[in-house]
Amino acid sequence: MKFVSEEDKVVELAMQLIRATEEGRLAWRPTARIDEFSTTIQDRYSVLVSKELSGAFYLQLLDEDGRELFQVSITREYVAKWTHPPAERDPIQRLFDLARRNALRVDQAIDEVLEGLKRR
Amino acid sequence: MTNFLAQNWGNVASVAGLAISVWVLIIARKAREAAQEARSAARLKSLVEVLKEASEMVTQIGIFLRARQWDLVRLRAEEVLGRCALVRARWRDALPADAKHDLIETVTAARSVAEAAAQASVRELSNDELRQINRGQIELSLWINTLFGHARRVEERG
Repeated sequence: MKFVSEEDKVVELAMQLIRATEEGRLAWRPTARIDEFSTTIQDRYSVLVSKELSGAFYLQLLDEDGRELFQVSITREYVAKWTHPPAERDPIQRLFDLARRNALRVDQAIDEVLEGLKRR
Repeated sequence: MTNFLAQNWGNVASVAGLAISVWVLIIARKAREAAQEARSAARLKSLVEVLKEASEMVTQIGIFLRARQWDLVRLRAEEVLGRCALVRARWRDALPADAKHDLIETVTAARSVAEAAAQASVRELSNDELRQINRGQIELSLWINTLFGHARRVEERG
């Protein structure tokens, strides 16, 4: 796999995380901070995705000891500069939404509510 | 018999020497194995002790959280991170595969508690944020105690 720039690498990482989450290969958990979710990869890395009060989205990669390997923040200005197709414009926000739904089991809750309503 | 010994004393001495050497080798091997077992047991015992300490620190985090002593929450959470790094560096191979997963989850949970406490020391947290950090401490407690359980099991198995 060849990456043209660091931006490409971040997009690729986010897209792979999105795919793995959608396919149920990744389980996300809420952390001790509001709007922050984590998952682990191969028991060697932790990935954190978060939304700050400012509205910016963050993607962080940590090593086994919790050291930050990299952090990327997606602000509106940053996204505006991207040259990627629209579907890939805001992968971290998309990943955040998916991680949140996965961690809080939103889809499962909706299914249960729908099932409950059908039985009434 | 005396004649035989007189004529073959050299051979008899060699055979006796060989038997003694083999016996010494067996004894030395057993002694080495016993020493290795003792070292391994001591090593596992200290792994259990390190994790027990870390578990107690997590309990203290809960107490400091209720008292809103954020600097102490952060300090203890960072100490838990330090213990996890020590466990990984020293005992990684002694732990079963699923404990490695629990270890990284513990690290992530401890880090998030430390980060939340750092945030709380610079600004007032909302009620939602306070609830979340409390949940984070409970989560951390579950992970560290699972890890402690793994270590105990390994120690009991010897």
